[in-house]
Amino acid sequence: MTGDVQQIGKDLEFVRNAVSRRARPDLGPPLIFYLWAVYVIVGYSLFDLKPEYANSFLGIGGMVGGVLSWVIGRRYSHKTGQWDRALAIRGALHMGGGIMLGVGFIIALSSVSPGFRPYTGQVMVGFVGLTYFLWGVHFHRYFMLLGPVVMAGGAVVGMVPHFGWTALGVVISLGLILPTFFAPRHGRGAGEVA
Amino acid sequence: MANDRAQETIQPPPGLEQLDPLLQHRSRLGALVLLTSTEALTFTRLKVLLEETDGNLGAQLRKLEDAGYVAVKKAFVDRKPTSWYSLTPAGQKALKIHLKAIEGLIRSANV
Repeated sequence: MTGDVQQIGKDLEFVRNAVSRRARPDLGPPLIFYLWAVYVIVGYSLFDLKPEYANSFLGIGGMVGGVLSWVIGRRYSHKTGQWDRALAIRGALHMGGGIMLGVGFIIALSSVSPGFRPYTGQVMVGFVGLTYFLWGVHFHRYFMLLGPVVMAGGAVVGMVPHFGWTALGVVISLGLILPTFFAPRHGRGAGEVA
Repeated sequence: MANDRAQETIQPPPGLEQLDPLLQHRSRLGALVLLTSTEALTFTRLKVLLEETDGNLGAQLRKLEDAGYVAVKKAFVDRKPTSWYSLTPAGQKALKIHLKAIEGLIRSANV
């Protein structure tokens, strides 16, 4: 009887090790981070260089980026051999929800207080930072650091007389690219023949 | 009185009968547990996570498939044949019963 229990204990240890190998934090496909880094640096620079195109680029580019992120994520999960639709939907709703909440807030506040309009970009950056921070809480801890940096950037960008948005874009882009060099990723080279 | 005591001693501990013989192999148990927390895993991913050989894992997964505990879907990823395994409702139920039985067994062992 004790022997049986000891064997069960060993088997459960084996299962626990397998589950912990699966649970190792995974940043995801680096390509998604590069995509959003380019989007941020181009979009934010437009505020300084061609402000009339900035909102259109960020709006349309954001939607295209979302679709591309989904496609890249799906390809990555096929490559790594781990498909979790619920997690993908949770991630998409989390990021999309945070951004939509920001857009909704800005539209609502702009309609009741026109004096708020010059600050909409900064408030949106604040929402992006908050979304990053919450992404860090729920998905990858690195974003708990990047989120407050983005929020602080959104707060001070209006005080910078020249190329403040470009500088903020560079900072956020670097923040997005940085973890791709250090964070562990599972399933590297897990190409399958089975 | 002595007879009663003898009967008491040979009584199986709670949960023992509910242990699923198919899940008494650690790789099969491990595969089912891993599949509970994700929609699907490929053969290679399971192999990496369970640290098993192709032959052994293939044989164990076939037993689970035959019992209707896992479903397998063949697909091509980057022109390579890929087997995606997912947990069936029967597998989910069996795992739940098995884990409950293990819990009961460990509780009764008093070690």
